[in-house]
Parts: sequence; C-alpha cells; structure tokens
Amino acid sequence: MYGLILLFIPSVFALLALFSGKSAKSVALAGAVLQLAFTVFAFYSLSSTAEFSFSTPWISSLGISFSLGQDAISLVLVFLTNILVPLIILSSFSGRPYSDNANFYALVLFMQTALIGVFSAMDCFLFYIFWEAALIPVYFIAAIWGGEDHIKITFKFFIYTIFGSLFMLLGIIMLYLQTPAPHSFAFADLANVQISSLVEGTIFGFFLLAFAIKMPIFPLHTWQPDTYTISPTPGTMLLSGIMLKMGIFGIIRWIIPIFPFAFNDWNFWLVTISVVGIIYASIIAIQQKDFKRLVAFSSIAHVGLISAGLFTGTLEGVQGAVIQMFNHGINVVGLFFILEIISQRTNSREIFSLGGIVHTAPKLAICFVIIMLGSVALPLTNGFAGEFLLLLGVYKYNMWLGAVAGLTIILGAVYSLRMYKNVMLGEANQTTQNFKDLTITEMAVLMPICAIVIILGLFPNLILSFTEPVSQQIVSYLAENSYAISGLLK
Amino acid sequence: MISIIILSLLGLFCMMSGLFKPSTKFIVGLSIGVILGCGTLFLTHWDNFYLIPAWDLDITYYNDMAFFDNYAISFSILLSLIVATVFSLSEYHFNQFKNYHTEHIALFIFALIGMIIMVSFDHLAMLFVGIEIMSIPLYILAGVNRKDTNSNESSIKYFLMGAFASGLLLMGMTLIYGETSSFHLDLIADYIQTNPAAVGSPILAIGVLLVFAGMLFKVSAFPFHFWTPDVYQGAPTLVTTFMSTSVKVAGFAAFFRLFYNCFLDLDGIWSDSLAIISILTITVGGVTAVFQNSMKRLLAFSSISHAGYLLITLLVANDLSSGSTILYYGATYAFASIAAFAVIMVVENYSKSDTVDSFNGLAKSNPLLAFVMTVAMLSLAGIPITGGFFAKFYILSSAIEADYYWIAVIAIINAIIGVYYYFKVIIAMYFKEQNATSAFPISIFYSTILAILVLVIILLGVFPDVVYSLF
Repeated sequence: MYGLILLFIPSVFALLALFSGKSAKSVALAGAVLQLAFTVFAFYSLSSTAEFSFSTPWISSLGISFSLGQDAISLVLVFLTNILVPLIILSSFSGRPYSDNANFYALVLFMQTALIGVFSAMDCFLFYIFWEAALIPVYFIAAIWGGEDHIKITFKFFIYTIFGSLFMLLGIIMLYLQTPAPHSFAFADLANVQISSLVEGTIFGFFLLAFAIKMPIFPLHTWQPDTYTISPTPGTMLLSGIMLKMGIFGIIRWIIPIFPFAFNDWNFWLVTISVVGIIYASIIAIQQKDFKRLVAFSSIAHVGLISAGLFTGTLEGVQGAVIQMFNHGINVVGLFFILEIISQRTNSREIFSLGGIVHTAPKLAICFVIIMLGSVALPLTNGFAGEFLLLLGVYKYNMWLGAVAGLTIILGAVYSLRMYKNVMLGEANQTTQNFKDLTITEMAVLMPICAIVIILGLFPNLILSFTEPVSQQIVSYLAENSYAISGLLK
Repeated sequence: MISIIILSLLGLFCMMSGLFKPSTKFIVGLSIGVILGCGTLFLTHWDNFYLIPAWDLDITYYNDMAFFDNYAISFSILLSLIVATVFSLSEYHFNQFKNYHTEHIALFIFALIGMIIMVSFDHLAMLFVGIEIMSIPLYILAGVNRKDTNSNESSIKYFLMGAFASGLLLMGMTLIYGETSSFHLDLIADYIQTNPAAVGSPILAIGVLLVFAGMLFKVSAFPFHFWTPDVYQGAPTLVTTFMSTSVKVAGFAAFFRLFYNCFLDLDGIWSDSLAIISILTITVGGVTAVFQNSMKRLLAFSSISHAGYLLITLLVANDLSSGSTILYYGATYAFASIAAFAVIMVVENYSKSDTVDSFNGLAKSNPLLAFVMTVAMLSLAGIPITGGFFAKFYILSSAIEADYYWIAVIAIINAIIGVYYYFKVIIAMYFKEQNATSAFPISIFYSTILAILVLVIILLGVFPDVVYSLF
C-alpha cells in the first residue's frame, strides 16, 4: 500500500503544479519534500519491505496486474530518487528560463512518478509502461529548454531509447507467451518460466539492449554526451542522476532472476565490454575542453565500472554496484549543479578560459572539492567504498580485467583534478574576477549533497548492510541457477 | 436492422430537405442525434413491435442475407460513433461549402449505410452491394470541391481505381459461385470443408485471389495503395477524415468476416502472399511517410502503414479474438486520426496550408490544439498510455503467438520509423519558432469534442479490456 502512496504523491502534485501558475515551484518543492518525508517515515515505521507492496488486477484478459513491491535494492533507488528530486527542483528556482514555468515542474514530478513506478513495478508489463512513461517528460524538458542544436540531439536520444525499449517489448511478449496459460506478466511467473537456452538468450539480448542503451554501456553510448551537454541542467541531472539507474536496476530486478543461464553464459563478454568502455570514456574525458561534456564522459566511465562489477556476479560486485548507483547519483547531480552555477555566472563552459574562482568563491570551492573527491573515490568519501568493492569484484572475477579496470582510479583523478585546477585555481581573469559566491538557495542544494558524500564515506554500511541479504541471494542464485522468489522480497 | 431503415429514411430526408433550405446546424444536429440513436438501436431487435436486446442473439435478416452477431453489432456501433464524431467536426467544412450541407450529409449517411451492410453481410452479393453503397457516395464526396483540380483528380482517380477493384471483386465472386454454387458464407464454408478437392481447385483459387485483391484495394494495402495519398490529399479534409477512419474500419471488418468465415481452410492460397503484403504495406507506408511534408499526405501514408498492421491480424486469425483486435485497433486508430484531422482542419482553415511547417510553434499560440495533436500522434505512434499502444501490443503478441517472429521484428522496426515521422509533428509544434502569433478562434463545441476525443484515446489505453473483451 505504501508503494501506491509513493506513486500518488508526485503525480497529484504534478497536476497541482501544472495549474498553479507562478507558484508552481513552491507547490512542486512542497510535493517533493512531502514525498521524501513520507519515504523516510515509511522506511522507519515498517517492519519489512513487504509492507510496501500493493497489487490489484488491471487488465485481466491479459493477466496484467497493477502490482508494486520493494526489496532492499529498489528501496535504495527510491530513496535516491526522492532525495534528488527536491534538490533538482530547488536548484532550478531562479535565473533560468524554466524557473517560473509551471510545465517544467509538472514534468519533473511526472518524471518522478514514472521513476518510482519503474523501481517498484512487480509486473513486467507495468514496468514497461513506467519505463516508457519516464522517457516522455525528460525528452520534453531536454527538447524545450535545451541548448544549441537541441531538436536534433534530443530526437536522436529519443529514437535511440525507443529503439531499445520496443525490442524489450518484443522480449516481454515472447516471455509472456512462454508462461503457462492463462499467461501472466507477474515477476514470480516470469522468473519461474521454463525456456530453451536459445529463446532465453534471444530474450535476454532484447532486454539487455534496452537497459544498455539507457545506462549507456559502450558502444551504445553515442547519444549520451551530446544529450547531457545540451540538456538544461535539471534535465541532465534527471538523466544522469536517476534515469540511467533504471538500466542498472533493470539488470538486477529483471535480467538476473529471469535469465540466469544467459547471464552466466555472456558475463565474461559483458564485463570485458564494460571495462573497455571505462578506459575509452576516461581517455575521451581527459581531452574535453567543455566541462559539462567532460562530466558526461566521466559518467560513462563510472557507469562502466558499475556494470562491470555487476556483470561479474560476485558479492562484492553486486554490493558495490548497489552502493555506487546511489553515490554516483548524488555526486553527478552535485557536479552538474556546480558546473551550472559556474557556467551561468561566467557564460562559459570552457575549462581553459576560466580559473581563479577559488579566490572570490571559497564556499563554492569547498563544495566542489568535496563532491569531486567523492567522484574520484578518495578514501573517506562515498565513492571510495563503492569503487573499491567494484574493483575487488572485477579483480576476483578476472585478475587482468581487474587490473585494467583499476586504471579508472588514475584516469578519473587526472580528468577531475585537471578540471578543478583549471577552473578553480590559478589567477583570476576577466570572466572570473567578479565571481559571486553561493547564494542561500544554492547552499541549500549543495550542503545535503556534501553531507551525504562525507557520511556515506564514513559509514558505507548504512547502505551495504541493508542490501547485503538481497545481494547475497542474487549471488547465490546465480551460482546455483535456481531461485527462491519468495526470498527476494523479504 | 431497424436502424438501417431509419438511417435510409434520414438520408432521403436530408436530400429532400434541401428544397426548404434548413440551417446547417439543424441538419447536422439532427443527423448526429439520429445516428447515435441508431447506434443504440443496433443493440436491439424489432420483434412484433417489441424491442428486445439483440446481444448474443445472432439474428439473421432478409433470408439470411444479413447476420447481426455480436461482431456486426460492435462494428456497426463503432462506425456510427465514428460518423457522428466526424459530423460534429464539420463546422469548417460547411463554412467552405455553404448551401450544400443537405447533399453532403445525405451522401455521408448513405456511405454509412453501406458500411453497416459491409460489416453484417452473410452473402457475397450483400458484401458487394454494401461496398458499392459505400463507395459511390465517396466518389462524389471526394470531388465536391468542384473548382479545385486536385479534388477533381481525387474523385476521378478514386472512381476509376474503385470501379476496377469492384470489377475484380465481382469476377472473383462469380468464380467462387461457379465452384461452390452458392453465395452464402455458411454454404461456401460447408462446401470447402466437405470437399477436400476444393482446396486444389484452380477456379476457386483464382476466385479467392481476385476477391482478396479487391478487398486489398478497398483497405489500400500494398501494391494497391497508390490511389490513397492523392485521393486523401485532394478530397476536402472532412471527407478525408471520413475515408481514412470509417472506411478503413469497415473495410477490415468485412475483409476479416469474409476470410475468417469462408476461406480459413484455403489459407494455403493466400496466407503467404498476405504475410509478404502486410510487411510491404507497413514498410512502404511508413518509409514513404517519412518524406512527406503535407500533413494530409503524411497521414495518408501512415494510414497505409496502419493497414499493414491490421493485415497481420488477418494473417494470424484462428479465432474471433483477432476480430477483437481489429475492433480495438480500428477504434483507437479511428479516434486518434479524427483528432489529428480535426486539428488539421482548424490549422488549414486559418493558415490555408496543411504542411508540417504550418504547425510550427502551435504549442505557444494554441496549447489545446497542440495537446490534442500530441495525444493523437502518441497514440498513432503506439506510445503508452494511449490506446495505440495496446493496439500495437495485441498485434505483436498475436504475431509472436503464431510464430511469425520475423513479422514481429519488422513491425517493431516500422514502429520506430513511425515514431520518427509522428514526432516530426510534435517537434514542429513544441520546439520550433512559431509562425502564427495569435490563437485561432475555436468554438466551444469544437473544443469540447476535441477534449472528449483525447479522453477517449487515453481511456482506451487505460482500460483496453472494455473494448477488447466484447465478443
């Protein structure tokens, strides 16, 4: 039942925001904060995650039910969504073309509804509906308020993702027809279905295509840098902070339980591709002059490491993937917001045309350095626990791949620190000498992010111990290829 | 049945009432009311001055010539609804064609009667009569814009091609009669079942293929689709709306009724060609639509592509659930198309152009129109939670269930192409610089109908069971 309320709050506030004109931003913020408060309340007042679940028949002739449920991993992502959306709304409060636009806030909240739906759907058909529904708002945000050449770039993004999801739809239907009659889309029925290895491999490929495009995994990433760069910053935050987690989550929730054999057959190649992607994206990131583009490529590298760890199917890899999904969401949103502040005040995104901001904006510099260190995984920041576990997982899986993947730490430090040095340090020039420090609103966005970076750096077990039982189940399930469905939801 | 009589009387009345110059509002309002009433009356049977519910009764009329089972009743009601909606959007049409409203409305009503006969026939002669009653008024209506050469071209092209197709159809029926010595669907089906030799009979095979080709023409499938874009573009937009929605639905309903009831055992003759034709129809329609700049042409090619999807249901037909798919697909396609054409009629009326560019920036000047168009385009493209998504879903799942994986994959690829050209319109409306600075004045009635259409498209997508599980 609680799952239904979590869907209900943002959708209602989205409609309210749509019709509240100038005060839309306050309505939207109130809705997002209420949603966060309710999530925290639900989390502490419930004895088990099973109490989040809700199910009612929807289209009975097709065996589709409106069925929601949470396990520890999806709860982490629900938390991530509900923490980030209020921050994203707050970050767009002033000085942007969309700051006073009711449609914008309604789209963000509709997006939140769809994301919560993706993370809680326990019916594959419902999952698909939410999956598609999440695309429309972010496409409109990016295309209406986007930068140069936005029509072409966002359309490419749209067609790319629709391409993946329609093939996933094909896979879903094929899987559905394999369930005993009367057919069903329920997670439990799909996971128990008996299929030949050829069919399993094919459907696995269709699902993986959709998830890999969303994440994106090399070589399906070509839509991502352009889209991240031209999108307005809230759009980029939604895309990179939350939306790409849909793909990783899809692998954990749908691919592993339903296609364990195919997953085990293919995981060496998938880990290898992911590792190649890490190195490829890091090297390109080093050569970027536009800092938004640099972070876009660094995001590909980070996601590559997450997927590499996840595909190994080791406990360290899966646990690392879960905590790093959360950390990456927090860090990348913080980074994009800081870059937005800088580019808004200087009208420039060129790394080499800036410098010396630290002299006039010490608060910004401190927030920037904390979030950046979190993103390069310095010990005692949140990124460290995640990347360490991921690298350990890859190393245990294959020593050589682990060694290559380890380069990400060095390369990540190179491009991040170089960006920091050129943008913040050195002599101030004409564009940066009158740089104003953070306003109260901006502080209100960045302080929680910095706090999470440090707290999770000191106590990663807050998340790790919570998700460990589920991760352990996933790993042992992959090892045995038999799966106790009831166990997952506990 | 009684509805057909009332509708005929209505048509005659409208035609005659031209003598007294009644107002447009009166004639249109009367027709909408009567058509909706007749739509309801399809649910009843006239039994010695009592009206009894006809659902599940399977009544035959006129010596087994017409057969009102649940299938025929559902389609008749759907067609009445579509025509009533088209009439309610006729404002701009009759502003252009003042003083001709009685004749135009009468012709539309006659076409509706033809379509109702097409979905309820039980006899090949009845099918032919239905098709002709439907087509002849449309030949005239396509050319009502007498001073416009495009409209003349549209009419003459439609007439010549349509007459040719009717000839094929008639020739095929004769050959079928020659082999089976009957025009009744049941008797033909019995003959084919009891005489295994009939399957190999060349006369029957040629007859079936000729009928097949005639029907493909009526639903504008590849390679008989060349008339569609020119006719749709040249005809007045209201006539195009009528042709691309109700005619297509009626054509498919008749096509399915004929082949499902009669020629299922002969599928060796037509199923392979149908598989190829359906794929080519989807692809040719979709790929050509990408290059269109006129909205009417774009929707014409998209309607060809949709016809291809519907052909898949014929291909995989093995029980009446394929009929449900056609009903559901027809309903979602028709209402989404009507919504799109309704917006086009407004834009065309004020900007005198129907190119995609004339929609630039519509979202800023006319948010309602842009929103209606967006919902229509999303539904035609098959994006959830609109009706079009479930329509595609039913088709895909029936194709996969029948092991036509390759057709499903090609259909998916074409769905992506579809997204491409439907989103061209959305992009023009929302993301391009506007060229109309002021809002187009729209009457409250017109915008109410638009709002209802949006609601219907979305409700069909949220509760598809309501329509899909009818029979």
